[in-house]
Amino acid sequence: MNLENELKAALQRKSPRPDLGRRVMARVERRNPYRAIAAALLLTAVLGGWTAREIQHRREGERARQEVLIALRITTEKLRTAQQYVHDIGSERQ
Amino acid sequence: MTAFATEALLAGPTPLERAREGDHEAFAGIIAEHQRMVFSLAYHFFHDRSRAEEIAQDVFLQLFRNLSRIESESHLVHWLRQVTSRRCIDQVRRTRLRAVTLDDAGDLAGTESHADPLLGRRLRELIAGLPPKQRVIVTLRYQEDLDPSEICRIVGLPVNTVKSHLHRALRALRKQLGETA
Repeated sequence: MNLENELKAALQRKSPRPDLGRRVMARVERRNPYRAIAAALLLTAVLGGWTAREIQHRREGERARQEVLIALRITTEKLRTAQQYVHDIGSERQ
Repeated sequence: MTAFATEALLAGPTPLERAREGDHEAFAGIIAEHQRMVFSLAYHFFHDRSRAEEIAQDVFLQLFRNLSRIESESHLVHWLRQVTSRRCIDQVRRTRLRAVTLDDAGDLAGTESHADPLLGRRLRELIAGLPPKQRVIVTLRYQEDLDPSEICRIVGLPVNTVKSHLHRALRALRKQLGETA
């Protein structure tokens, strides 16, 4: 018996289960922090953009409401002045 | 520019270069190419399929984290052999494990063309009982067909120490085979 030949035959390479590569890649994906960071950054950017636009819309709405209130106040003031004027003319005629 | 350099440029980046740049498909290709070598080194060391697959997974994960340090295809093969061997020895040191179970040996999809399967099985059993360094050296010598000057660079021992481990391992195997014959 040639021991060296027997050893070569006994120690031939064997195949692992076929899904070894898939299992390694699953662990690679889990362990890759860059993907998680990129996803978190993207989510932050999307949420941040949405929030900023929402704040902008609210500010514009508030500004429009204030402008309408000022316009109503001026109109009321003008009407009161006109009413007083008409009242004064009526008083003078009597 | 030489013809070789032009050819290399036209061929595009190698799988290793692509994997280094974050191409996961290229990395999966590297695993597919080298998984038999890594798994078999661990399997012949432990004779335990689950443990060998665990070691192989850990080695490839370590490779993924160290891709930037791998300079070439031959460096990759050397690195894989070295890291697998060290992991096997380290694990034995940590757990003082000497696994000799051969329950799943028959299920392995090897291409063994052994004339005497019983002798092959007996040899693997005896190798699993050798001291860890001898086990690694015998596996690198006969599974990977490396000579002592190559093995010494992988296990980090002087070449004469490797030769001496190999000699002692073969003597022990001959003796044990003689006793069981």
